[in-house]
Amino acid sequence: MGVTRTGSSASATPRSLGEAVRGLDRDGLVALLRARPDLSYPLPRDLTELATQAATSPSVRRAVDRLDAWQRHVLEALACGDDPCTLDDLLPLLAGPGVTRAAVAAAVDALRTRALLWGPDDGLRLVRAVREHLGAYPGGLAPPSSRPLPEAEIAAEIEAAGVEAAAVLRRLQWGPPTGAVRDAERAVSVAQARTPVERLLARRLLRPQGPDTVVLPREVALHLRARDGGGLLAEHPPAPTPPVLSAEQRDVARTDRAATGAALAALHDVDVVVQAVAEQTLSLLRDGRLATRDLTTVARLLAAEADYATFAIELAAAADLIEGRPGLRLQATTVYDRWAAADAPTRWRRLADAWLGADRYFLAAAADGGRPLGPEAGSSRARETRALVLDCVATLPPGSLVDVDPVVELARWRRPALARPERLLRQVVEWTWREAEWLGLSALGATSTHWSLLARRQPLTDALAGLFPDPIREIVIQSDLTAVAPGPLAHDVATDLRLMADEESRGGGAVYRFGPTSIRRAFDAGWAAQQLHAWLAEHSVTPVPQPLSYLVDDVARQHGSIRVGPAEAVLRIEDPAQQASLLGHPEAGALRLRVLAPGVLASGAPPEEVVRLLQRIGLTPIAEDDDGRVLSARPPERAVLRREQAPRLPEPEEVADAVLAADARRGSVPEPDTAGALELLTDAARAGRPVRIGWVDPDGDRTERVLDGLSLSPGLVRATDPATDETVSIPLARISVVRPTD
Amino acid sequence: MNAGPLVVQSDRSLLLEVDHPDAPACRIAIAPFAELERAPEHIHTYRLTPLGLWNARAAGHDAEQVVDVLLTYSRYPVPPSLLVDVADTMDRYGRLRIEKHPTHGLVLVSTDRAVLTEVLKSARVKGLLGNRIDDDTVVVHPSERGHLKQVLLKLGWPAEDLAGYVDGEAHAIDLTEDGWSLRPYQKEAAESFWHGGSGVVVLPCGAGKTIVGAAAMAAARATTLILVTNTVSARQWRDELIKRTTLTADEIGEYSGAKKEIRPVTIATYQVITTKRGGVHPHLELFDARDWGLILYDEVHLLPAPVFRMTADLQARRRLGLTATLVREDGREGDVFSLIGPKRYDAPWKDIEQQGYIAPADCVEVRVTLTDHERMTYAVAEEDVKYRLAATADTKTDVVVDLVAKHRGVPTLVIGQYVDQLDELAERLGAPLIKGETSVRQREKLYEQFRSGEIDLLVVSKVANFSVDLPTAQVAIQVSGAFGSRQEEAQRLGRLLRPKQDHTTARFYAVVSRDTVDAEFAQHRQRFLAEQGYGYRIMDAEDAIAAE
Repeated sequence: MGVTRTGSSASATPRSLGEAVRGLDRDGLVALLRARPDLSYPLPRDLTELATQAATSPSVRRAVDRLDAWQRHVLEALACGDDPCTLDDLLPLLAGPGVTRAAVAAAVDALRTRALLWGPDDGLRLVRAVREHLGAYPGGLAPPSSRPLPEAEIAAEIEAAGVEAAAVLRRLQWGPPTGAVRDAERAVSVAQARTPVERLLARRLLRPQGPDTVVLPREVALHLRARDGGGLLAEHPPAPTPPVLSAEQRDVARTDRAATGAALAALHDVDVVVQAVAEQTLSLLRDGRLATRDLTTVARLLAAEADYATFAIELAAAADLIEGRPGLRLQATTVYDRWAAADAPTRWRRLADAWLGADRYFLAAAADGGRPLGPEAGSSRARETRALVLDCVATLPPGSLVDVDPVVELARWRRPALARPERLLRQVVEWTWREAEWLGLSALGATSTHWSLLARRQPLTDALAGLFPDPIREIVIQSDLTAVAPGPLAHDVATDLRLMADEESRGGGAVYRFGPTSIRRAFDAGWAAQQLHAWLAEHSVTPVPQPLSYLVDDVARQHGSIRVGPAEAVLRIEDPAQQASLLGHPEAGALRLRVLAPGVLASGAPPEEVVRLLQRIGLTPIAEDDDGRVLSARPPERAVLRREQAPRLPEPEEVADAVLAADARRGSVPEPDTAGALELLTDAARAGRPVRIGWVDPDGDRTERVLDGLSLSPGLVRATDPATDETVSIPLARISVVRPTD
Repeated sequence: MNAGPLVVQSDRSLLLEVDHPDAPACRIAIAPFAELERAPEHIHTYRLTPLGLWNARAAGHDAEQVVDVLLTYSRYPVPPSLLVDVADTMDRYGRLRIEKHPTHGLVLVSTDRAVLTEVLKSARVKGLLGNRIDDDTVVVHPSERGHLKQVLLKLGWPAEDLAGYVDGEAHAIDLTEDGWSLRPYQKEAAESFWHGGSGVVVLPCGAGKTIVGAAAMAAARATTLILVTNTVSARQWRDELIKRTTLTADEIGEYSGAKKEIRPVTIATYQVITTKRGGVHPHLELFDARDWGLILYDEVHLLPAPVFRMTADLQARRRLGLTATLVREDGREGDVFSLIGPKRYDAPWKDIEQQGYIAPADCVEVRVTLTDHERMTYAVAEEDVKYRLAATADTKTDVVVDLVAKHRGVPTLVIGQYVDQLDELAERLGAPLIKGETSVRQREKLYEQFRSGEIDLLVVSKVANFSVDLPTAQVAIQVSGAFGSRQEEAQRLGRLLRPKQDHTTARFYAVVSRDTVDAEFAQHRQRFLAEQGYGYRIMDAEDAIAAE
């Protein structure tokens, strides 16, 4: 998709980037916004503002970072020449295996779509910020020499300069082409030359560039590069097409089933993490990391290594199921309650999406010196890099056995900017692969269908979702007082059951055990014996075993046979034997008990302490408030998620329509011909002319003022407001529009 | 969706739904590598353990088979990490082998140099190994063969012991199959053991473990040392051997508290071997008293620690362990594996069912409410006498009398722990009492009368009910229980209450004092019995007496 030149001044080639952008049709605009999403935010007011924004250095840097290796290579070739340049100028520089005119033209088209250059193929012009971004020596080449050494002489001069001098040239050959020497500018003749550098200077194979700097002239570098084979622009130039991955195939159905097994395990383990957070005190240290002791606790609960436990904790946090602030304890969130009530495929997809969108490398938190939720695992590139790895692997069909090396190579080709340093990229590919295996995107070394669906951001197919078991609402109760859920229990059933029985085993199903303590817990939470019986009868597929019914009644009979009041702790005991037992107990001394009347005792200790002690010595009191009501257990604590939900970014189509509409509205107003905001600013600064600048201040408000006395420094404009004599500094990135004054 | 009968849990337990149509096939398929932990009425729990997987390896199963079984029968997708773990664990067995070298004697050989290096680096093997002969071979000190195997198991690299055995002193022993013959599974068990060299045979109670032992002796045809749990068991072994083999009474010695005979076949009790005098075990000599060709361990799951230590030195002798379960309450399953050997045979499940593993008896816990006076006494009592007070409460006596009256006419045993209480009960019931001090002759006479139906009520103490020849009854009433091993108690119960030929269900009453530690102990019993598949009910005394 190229820039279509069909605007109002369509007949002529555009004279500036601004004109080129204003000449875009809707499709071209959408393509630009899609390739450079940062241009949509903040929403540009019109095409002029969009063009200005597109020419700023931060936005250009982002755009260049998103190029693939071949596009970037072509961009360097363009930067080597002067504006304008033609497609045919580029071909010699790019020549190499597989390089065709069409391949170069396609890359040029892509760069044009991204508004990194404008103009037709016979008059290509680079956006100024691109040149700035690529530096003084694109392709490692010095600018063309003013008096180049004739090609015919170069070989002979090199030969004559000697072996040591050739070694110096080799060092500068691939750039950067400059070297530091002392006194570079003194005139040296061939006869006077002593050192290799002097010989090179004398023979004009090096030229002085400043008092202490020499530079390898472009024609010499190109000669050397051509002599050594390879590319003219890079020692190992990228191929115009991406490397193709190939892999051994595994049975997809089997892989998908195994991957679903892993996905179920991940669901289950994240749930264990949240339960641990809800029921135990897991605190964040002041620097935001989880304490090692708490990590060990979670790892023990999961019966897993610390790295897997770290992954599960990070995943729960990324999905907003748990939340904590540095120095405070972690809490389960309200999001968790909604998540837990959803069906398994939905729950899994939320986790997978959270993983995909996380700006942290989970396994970096498990690496040396890392700790779950610690700051060291955060990375602004994590999301992009993870998506890149996911997409690269997704070029393979499901069921492929994947190797790390080819994936690294493909990722490097697709996004060279993310591949630096390469060690990190390899590390990220390995991390992503391991995490994906835990998440159920791959299994037994092969990718599953889940992987390609997630990479394409598509929902699970019915067949795949069908592999996730449906939640069940029924349990099997046995006379050894266990309740077995032969499958995943519906959330509400599990919550109730967890209150009245202790969970013993989890996995595909769950095993719960009833005991006096657990039944008592249900009573404490306000359940009545009849409710318990009814619940059990409703949810058990088999008749409720007699010992369990008996146990419920037995606990109910004892439950609350001692009542403790808060008015400086009053104990009422219905049973003289229990009273005697209590009074005679060696630990009861701490309560300073007095018998007030048969069955009524007073204690000098606060009620909480009394209750605790009675429980410790094996009695089963219940606590009352001052109206005599039984205190029931509090509902589980939940944190309200404080993190703001990221705003939904508008789709490129919506932005394009908005911008075009705005433009149409002001279409009648003749727009000054801004040859790019930067050009205008530069000219104004050079000429000392005032200019009208519109920008967004730190509070997000738009301002537009006429400013004078401009001076430009990297990334910044300094100027004076003639009306107030106030000096303002405006970051270039904030400038939305520049117009000449009338 | 696969609708298999098996649910795989992340703690490595397997839940088997017993009423599922595929359950029997699944049961057979998982038995070689998973241990049955609980068998209540609807869902049985098996567990995958490294030992279980290594047992399967030793029996010739490979990881692929195990993984395939799990995938075939699992209702839900199994996490691949678990499958990988199973494969990795199984792969660890046999990387190291103990072999006999023609010149260096006993050696440790490795098929994986890295493993051998890892093992040699461990401080635990110091002193157990000698020189390294080459990259893959290290000399083993012959006396440390057992210790080495224990250590290697702990390090996670169990060694396969292929070093063979000494034949021992030959002694002619043959089975005399007149009027009876080995059941097919008994024959199979004995053969599996013999081919494996050493190891454990797992058979349910009543499946004829003694006969498997006799068949193993007939295969070894060598002098044999038999280690059993107690004297009564020793006598039963002697009687069985005389009946089933060519051995005569003269050839069989008893080495117990009472007698110290050493004969070609010697039966010793764990108790006498583990007796310590002045800090040493005076009866260790027994192991060297003869050149034993075979050592037989009855009830391996009860094998006491000192016997393990002695067994470690006997690795060149063939060893056969017999048991109904590999689960040990002290968690020393690993020592059984490394010192006696891997599991060589497990009875087919159908037999276990027929042998009464499933619901052979109806258990009723009878809760009695103590009188106010008793409760007061209990409440103020010291902790250490509370159990006794609760267990021997007078209120229980009336309940027992009523229960006995209710079942008048059927063979009934009353079992208790405290002699005072039993004395009183025997008097109230007008029934004979067997306790520790009752002479063997008197005991046998009463048992005989009970068997023949001459009397239908016996009161027996805990000491007495240890005996193997305790006759079976249709009703047993336990008035005060032991708080020892739950397993021991359940086994005793299983022996006491065999399902009758006419399929009437035997009944077991446990009389328990409400709201006391007695009831707490009863909870453990309830759990264990229910896990064994016994039916279990809890009733108030009045209801129990009034029922049908």
